[in-house]
Parts: sequence; C-alpha cells; structure tokens
Amino acid sequence: MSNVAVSPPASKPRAPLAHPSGDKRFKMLEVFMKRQQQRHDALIEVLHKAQELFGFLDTDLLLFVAHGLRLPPSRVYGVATFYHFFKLKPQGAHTCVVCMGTACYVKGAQQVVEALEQAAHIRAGETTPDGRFSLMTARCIGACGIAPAVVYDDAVAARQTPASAVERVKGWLDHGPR
Amino acid sequence: MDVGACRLCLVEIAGSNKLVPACTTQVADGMVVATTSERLQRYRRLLLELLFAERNHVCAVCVSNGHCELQALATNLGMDHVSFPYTFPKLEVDLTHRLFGMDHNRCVLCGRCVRVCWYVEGAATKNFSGRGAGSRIISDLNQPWGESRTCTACGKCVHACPTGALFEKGTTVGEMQKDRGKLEYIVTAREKKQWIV
Amino acid sequence: MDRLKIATVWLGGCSGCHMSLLDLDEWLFELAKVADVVYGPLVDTKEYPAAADVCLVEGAVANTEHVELMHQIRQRTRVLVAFGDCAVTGNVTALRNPLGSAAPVLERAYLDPANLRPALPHEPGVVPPLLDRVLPLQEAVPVDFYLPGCPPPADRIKAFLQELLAGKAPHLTGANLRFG
Repeated sequence: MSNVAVSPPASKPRAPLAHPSGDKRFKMLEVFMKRQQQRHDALIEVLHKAQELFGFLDTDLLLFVAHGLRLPPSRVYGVATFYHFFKLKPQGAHTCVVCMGTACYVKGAQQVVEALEQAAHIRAGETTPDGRFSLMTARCIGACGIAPAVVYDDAVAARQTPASAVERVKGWLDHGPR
Repeated sequence: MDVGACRLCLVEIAGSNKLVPACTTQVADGMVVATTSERLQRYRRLLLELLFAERNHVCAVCVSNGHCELQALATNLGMDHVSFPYTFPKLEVDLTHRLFGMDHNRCVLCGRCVRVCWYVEGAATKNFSGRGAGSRIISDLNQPWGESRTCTACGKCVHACPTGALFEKGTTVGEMQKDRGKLEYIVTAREKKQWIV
Repeated sequence: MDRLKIATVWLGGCSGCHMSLLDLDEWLFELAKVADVVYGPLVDTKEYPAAADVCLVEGAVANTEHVELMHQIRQRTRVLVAFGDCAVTGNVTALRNPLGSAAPVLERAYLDPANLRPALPHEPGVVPPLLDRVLPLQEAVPVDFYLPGCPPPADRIKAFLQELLAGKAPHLTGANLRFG
C-alpha cells in the first residue's frame, strides 16, 4: 500500500441549511425542521410552518424545505400544489374563498365566482394589483349544508348569492374601511 | 405495482356488482374474475373517450402516430368518435431540455414517467403538481425541464410514456418509437440479477 | 332499384379525404354502376339536392357558412357520415381552439405578416366569419356513422361504402379503425 496521503472520498457537501439572505424566518423554519428530526413525513407540517412565517411559499422557500428535509424538490412542489391551503403566490390583505364542491356548485357557486371576478376585475386565483384582495376557489370546505358557502378572510358565510357576495367584499375593493 | 391512475383495467368480480381496477385489487382464493364483457368494454370506451376529450390528442400530427398506446386502445375498444365535447385546454410544450421534449397536450397523467424516474432511475425529477383537471407533470419545482438540477437525461421517462407526450427531440410525425424493453431489461437486471439481452 | 344518391362536402379540411376517395381508382367504376355523385367538390352542382341518400362530410365545422350548410344537408340527407379525422375529432382544423377564439388566428394570418395596410377580411355575405371554436361534425348536427383517418385510406373507404351499399350499418374494426 502506498504511503501517499489519500484524502477522504470527496463526498458532496450537504447543502447548507442556513439561508444566504440572513432572514431570521429561515432560521426559525430550520429550527422547526430540526425539531421534527427532518423526517420526510413532516413535510406538510413544515409547509404549514413555512406559510405561517412567510405568508406564501415561493420557489426559494420550497427549495429550502426540500434541502431541509432532504426530499426531492418535485415531491415538495407536488404536495404544496395538491392542497388548496398552500399558497404559492402572495395573497391580498383580504381573501375570499368560494367553495366549488359539488353541493355548492349545484347551488350556484359558479355564478358567485363570476360576479366576484367581475366586481374585482380579476380571475379566480388572482390578487388585485393593489394587493388588497385575493379571490380563490376550493374543492369542498365541508360546509355542504349551507351551500353555496364562501369564506371571507376566516369567516364562513352561508347561502351566498352573486349579490350578497359582491356586497360583502365591496369595502375591500373600494379601499373603504373593513 | 399498484397505481390506480386510469381505471382502464376495470374488471368484474363474481358476486359483486362493483367494477374494480385490476391494478389495485388483491387476488383471493376462488375469486372469479371477468376481464372482458359487454359492460366492461362499454365503461372502458367511456373512460377512453374522457381521456381523449380532456387534452388535445391530434394523432395526425403526433410524433407517436402509429406507435401510441392511447391510439391503439381506441382501435382495440372500437372507439370511432368521442361523444363528449372536447375541452381544448391551452397547454404548454416544454422544449428546454437538451435531448427531450414534453408536450402536455398529449399527456394522459398515467404517471409512468414519474414512477420510472423515482423508482428505476432514482432521480425523482418528475412528479405530479396540482390536482384534478389542473394536474400537470412537472420537473423539480415546476421549472423548465432543461433547468432541472436533478434530471440525469437518462431518457427512461420518454420510453415509459405511452403517448407522444414525452419524445426525443428531432423526431417528427410517426417517428417516435418507444422502447419499453430497455426498462424491463434494467429492472430485471436489478431485481433478479439477470441480464436478458 | 333506384340508384343511390351520394353527396360529398368539403368543410374545414385539406381535401386529403377527397383525394383518398379518388384513390379508389377502378373501384369508382363499380361505384358508378350503382350510385350517382349528386353534390360536392368533385361535381358541378351548385345546390344541395332536395334528397340525398348518403353524404360524406370532410372537414370540421369552422365558420358560419359550414353551420348553415350542415343544417340544410342534415335535413336533406338520410345517412350522414363524418368522413376523416377533421370531421370526427376536429383534428388539425381545431388546433386553434385552445387559443380561445378566432381573433388570434386572424391577427396572425392577416395583421402580423402584413406590411401594407393590414386589415382583417370583412365582407358580410361573401366571406363567412370564423367560429370562435371549430366543431367536430357531431357537435354541430347528428351524425350517423364515423369514418376516421387522416386521411382514411382508400381501402377503408371501400370497406365502409361496401357495407353501406349492402344495406348494412358499417362497422369498422382493427386496422380499419385508426385515427391519424
């Protein structure tokens, strides 16, 4: 055996967890992931935490989570887009989620969405340019008994009509008081 | 492997009125299974028509024309037209990869590319994003395929793909022939230590 | 026996299906023994006859003239056949459908490449407006039989017509039933 000093096999350095931006929230997320022992099945909890800290999940953040849990980026993106709760774009100051589940749809949720789209001049899934209002849809929020249901910020409203929905969000669109 | 992506493998089990997908149903002792019946063929044709109506399948201008599993299914099931209105969605074609292209118009979301990428190649580049009608096959964080840091450009996904959704660049109408035998070769070699050339 | 009245019509398609029909070559003489071609791009008749037995429709329904013509043809025809992939599926003619309307197609064809007085064609009563969505034939009128293929090879057309002439409902299978 030669006595030439052999350097250890060049293993690929693990991606550093610390985020170069220095944003403290990344540190908090890192701590959270470590507390979950970086388990793969903690992905959903970690995404919840990330959204709680940042408001939405951008590509950079999803990659940070993928590195942190040592998961393929495609898995993280797939899970983040499967659940309506996770937002990949910044949300407006106020959000309105129209339930498009079967019961709500049958009871006219589509017309409610169309009325809101017209009132806000955006399409479902978008946020107004002033960042004040986001219009979203969801597949069944589990409130079929009060169909069609709409969630205004965090409050669920029953039996909505195009007129009642537009009335409810008017203040958010007119820059008026809440 | 149990998948349950398309329900085209529906079968009838004697004693039950329910149709079940063969791919996710465990066989049991004494089970009597019918794989072709008038009723099954009718349902399969319906499902196939829905697949055709969901995206933009234009056989005449497809790289896989004549070598396509979807097209062959239509022939085998006697589908001479689609009785649902076509949805004509506007979908992307990703040509950013050096060697391969992905045309979402022709994708049936069977997930073979995802499974081969995860479990045969091990790169886990591909996955599903979204859900329902909004489902798409993505690379990494839904970035252009050519910018993927995980893709090894092995081409297994192309050969696993049943339609012209994944193809080698430079092929034109009818020229893309998939070689699934290569995938079988690799898997047999790995699992049984047999290299059957 | 009365001679069979066969019509053909060319909507939004490339005429390839009609070319394939001509590829029947000498069998056309056999056909001529029992049938007359009473309307279509291969003959000079200007008006669709009051009653036809069979009409082979090539192409998808792409403009308002096609819609009106097809309603008239449906009323005056016993057996309506979607002839070729464009009629059956929309095919290449419907490739523009994902764009959402006719406007982007017209702009691309008439405005983008023009360097001298770009204008969209507008001749009411002369140039029929495009539909915003190209329709497979069965989305415009009820269809009796489907003869897919791009184009359907002459042998397939022959097999189809032979069954029809024999008074049977044509039933294509195997290699005779293939899109593309």
